[in-house]
Amino acid sequence: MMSPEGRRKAILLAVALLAGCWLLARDLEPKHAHYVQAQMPRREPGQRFDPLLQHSRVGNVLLDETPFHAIVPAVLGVRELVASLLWIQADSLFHRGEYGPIMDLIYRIVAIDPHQIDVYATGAWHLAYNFMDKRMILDGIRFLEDGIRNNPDVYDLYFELGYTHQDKTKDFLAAIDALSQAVTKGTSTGDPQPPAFVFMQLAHALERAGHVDEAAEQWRRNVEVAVELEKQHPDDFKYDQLVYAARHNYYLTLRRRNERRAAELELEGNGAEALKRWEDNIRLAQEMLGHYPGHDQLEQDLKRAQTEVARLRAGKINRTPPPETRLEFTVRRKAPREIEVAGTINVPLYSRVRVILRDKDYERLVQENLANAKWRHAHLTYEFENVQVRDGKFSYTFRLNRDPADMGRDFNTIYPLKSEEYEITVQFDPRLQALFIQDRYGWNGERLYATDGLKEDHTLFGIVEGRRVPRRYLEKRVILRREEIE
Amino acid sequence: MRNTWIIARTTLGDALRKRVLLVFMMVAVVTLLLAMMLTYLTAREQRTAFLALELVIILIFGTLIAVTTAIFLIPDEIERRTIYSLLSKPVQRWEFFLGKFLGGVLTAGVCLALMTLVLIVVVFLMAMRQPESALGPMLQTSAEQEPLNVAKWFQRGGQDVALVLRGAYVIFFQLVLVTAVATTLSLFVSPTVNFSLTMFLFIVGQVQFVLKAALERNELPLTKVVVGVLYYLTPHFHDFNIMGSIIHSEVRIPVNHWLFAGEVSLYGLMYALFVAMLGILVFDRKEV
Amino acid sequence: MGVAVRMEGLTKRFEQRGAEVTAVDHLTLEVQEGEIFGFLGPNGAGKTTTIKILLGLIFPNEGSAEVLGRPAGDLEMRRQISYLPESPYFYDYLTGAELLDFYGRLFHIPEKERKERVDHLLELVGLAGDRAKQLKQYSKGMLQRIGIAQALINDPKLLFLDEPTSGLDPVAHIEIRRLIENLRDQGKTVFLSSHQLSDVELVCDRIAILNYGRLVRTGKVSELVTGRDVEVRARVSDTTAERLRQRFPNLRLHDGIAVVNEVPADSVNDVVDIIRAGQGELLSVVPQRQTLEDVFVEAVGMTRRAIGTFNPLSEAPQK
Repeated sequence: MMSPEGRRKAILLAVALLAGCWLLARDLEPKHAHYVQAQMPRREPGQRFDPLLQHSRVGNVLLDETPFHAIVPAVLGVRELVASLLWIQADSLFHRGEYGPIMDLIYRIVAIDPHQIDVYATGAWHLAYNFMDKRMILDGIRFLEDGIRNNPDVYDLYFELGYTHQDKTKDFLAAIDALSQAVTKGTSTGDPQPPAFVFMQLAHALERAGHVDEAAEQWRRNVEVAVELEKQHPDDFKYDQLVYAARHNYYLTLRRRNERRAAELELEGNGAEALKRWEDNIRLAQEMLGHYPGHDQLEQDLKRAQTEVARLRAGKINRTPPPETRLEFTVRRKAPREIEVAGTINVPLYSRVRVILRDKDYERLVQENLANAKWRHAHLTYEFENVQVRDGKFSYTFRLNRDPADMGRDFNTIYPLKSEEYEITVQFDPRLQALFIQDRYGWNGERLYATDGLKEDHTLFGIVEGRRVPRRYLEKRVILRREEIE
Repeated sequence: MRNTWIIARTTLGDALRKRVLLVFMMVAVVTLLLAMMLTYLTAREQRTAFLALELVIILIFGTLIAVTTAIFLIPDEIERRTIYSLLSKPVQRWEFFLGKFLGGVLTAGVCLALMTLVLIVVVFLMAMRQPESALGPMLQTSAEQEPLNVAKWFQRGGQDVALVLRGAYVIFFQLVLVTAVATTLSLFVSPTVNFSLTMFLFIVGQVQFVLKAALERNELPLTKVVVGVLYYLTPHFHDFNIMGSIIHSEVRIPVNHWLFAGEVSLYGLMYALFVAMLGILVFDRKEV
Repeated sequence: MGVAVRMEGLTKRFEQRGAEVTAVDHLTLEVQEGEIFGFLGPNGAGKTTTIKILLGLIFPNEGSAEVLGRPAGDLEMRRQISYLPESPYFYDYLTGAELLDFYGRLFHIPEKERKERVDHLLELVGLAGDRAKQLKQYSKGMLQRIGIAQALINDPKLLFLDEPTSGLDPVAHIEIRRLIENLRDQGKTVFLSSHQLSDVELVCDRIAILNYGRLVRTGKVSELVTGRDVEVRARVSDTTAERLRQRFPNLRLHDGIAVVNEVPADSVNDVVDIIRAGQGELLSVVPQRQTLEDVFVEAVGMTRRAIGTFNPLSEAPQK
């Protein structure tokens, strides 16, 4: 047994230890709160998951802002585990084609663990692509935005957002915005720089948006990135290919800029400036042939440039304006919920027109109900297609009486037709065309001529050789009443 | 103190031979290997799911091993009457108690180390999967098809191993604390009751920071005081939960991770010593 | 020679099934240095409880105890004593040598000396050939012997041995007895608690008999077994034999020779007077010896009679 003195000392030591623990606990609490906070999803201002949490004022951030289904994993500290297990389950749902519960599931998963980057990426892909419900492209975008809000320090979701804008919404400025951020972020494994394809995608997006000068500059930087990567992988042939791709794209951008500008200048009668552009193209081709001697396409480019230089030096300037582009179309109800849009447009083979059917006030209704996906899906109708033009003709039938993804869903849930009026729009936008089609009209429709249906948008301008160029495209619209569709 | 260490070593040898421990260890290792079957996911998904699963498994099994060891440390000595042979020697009661506690800690530590070792090897091998290709969609290559960049593999693997070590380090001090609680409780209650009580304290310790907020909503100031006092008297197991920062290491948190780990481990150690002091004070007067 | 163990008014009570049981009842006793002291009593008498108090494993409610001049349970005291518990159990994963080494370390015996002692002790108890076997492979007898060995690891001045010959064959019994005698020859004190009365009778110098926690008999073995009763043989007439039988009903008469057993020492003169008065011939007057068992049974029986009622809590709690 301890002596009384020894016992006293032991009690004092115990009290001192407890006091020390108390002090440490107080210091640890706010620091640990950072760990807890980092696991919680960041929401849009004013947005709560659960109506039930609207008035919750428990005083603990986790309880206040965590939806019900996430509370148990959050409180037990197993958020990541539960989310991973749910994602594994979701994966099997994907493979079995059971798309119904998927949307709910992916929202739940990211509420439990907002750092599951692949859930955001794959989930958004399913929303924007797989469901083939065009209204869900917006949901995919918003899902990615949510993902970026929660994972701002890695490139992945910025890239996905940029790519989705470029591919689906065609909002190229938004794509550039996202991709510009993506190139400044590192990877989740700690690399300070994202993979090369991110840089490549940014350059493509810049070009698509008509920001040609920036696109060229970005390609130039991409060449540097590719060369650096090649040095790191000297024995891997694929990195040689990467350097070639970057260099070639850089060359093509500069070459096209020269060519297209030269065509515009010729139309204005400025042969001297047009000549300079073609002479520059000779230099560019020779420079590239220095890297890749004997390259067939480059040899052809060189010959062509030399031919054009010779022509211009000989004073043969082409001042013939391109023909006016005329777009006409009719709308016919083939059957209930089957609307045929057929028309003509004098554009080259492989050109595409975009055919859109949606509620008349679609944009406004979307903005008013941005956060309310359920409302949008219950009330809005939106379908579009990029239709190829053959022999100056095009035709497309909107079939609002079936599931576009053939998954057995009720078509009324995809095309609710709740509005009174609908707009059918047909668009020809040079920005969306293949590059060899763009050669004729310019990146921004600079050489698109039409008297009927030509639109000029000065907000979505391009920049070529330092000049602001408005976006020019053809668009015509027809309004239908619901009865004319159903 | 020498006797403490001597008793601790013998306790370790005794405890490691308990069959139930081996069963736990086997289950833990098998689960570890099963988790490797997640290879059909992307590299990042596999890493996330695997780390999330394994860290929880190691925590749960580590805790079960620590508790099932500690609840029998002293009761077994009394039941088998080996305690008479020990306490009749010039071994002070506190030396005996600390020696048993330290033996329990060493047992939990050895088991944790073995599980962590398996995890480290698997994590390092998993890091061979390259997360993304620089070339990617452009040249339609997947990361799997690229030749292995050994330097990058070691860098990734090394990072992940450091993360796992930080996680295991923090788990270890949780186990120290749990061992202290169970060893001290074993002086009062039977092993069955002890197991339930210790696990209850552990689970409450994980969730109490939330309970505290919920209970403090009560308007009575007395409730607030009582809840506050209980909150600071009981061990804060939830402070040890930093697994999120290991699984999603790219998320930036304005805390120095290793300093925090050091601080929380100090907390665990001090709390464990406090509980051990209580045990020593009680055991000093306990008739055997 | 000094006092090795001193107990004064030592009392220990336990709670058992709601009732209070007195396991050791105002025990006052001394054990001298250098003697082999036998501590006897039926099961539940309080023997083990007493030893545990002396070792500091449990604490008395009243009274005091000293061992080797230091308070019971004292740390320094424990350096100089050793304890072999009844049916000892050890960490069965250790080998015999490892066990002794483990206990040796607790005494902070330096490594070289410790190794020597371990070797010597294993030889002494006949386990040198089994030193590398794990204890779980030891028989009961082997465990008992390793227990004795661990009790000697620190070369103690005083040994507490609780049933040291339990589970041993007769040959081993003899060996242990010789060992204990050897210890006394070395000047050590042995506190021997045992049911083996034959061993105790042969080996102990003094004994104490405990029952229901109380000391009922103590003294030198030689004195205790030497009886106070006397056997008287005489050639007497039938009349004289009848007179004697009235006082001593166990008288046996054969061919005119009367034999009277268990004549109390203070009644011998009366018997002789009766014989002389009847003009008989006194043949012999011989003091009768008792076995220790007799002493024991009488002591324990007497106590039972003294208490009178059957005590349902006949076993004091063995903790």
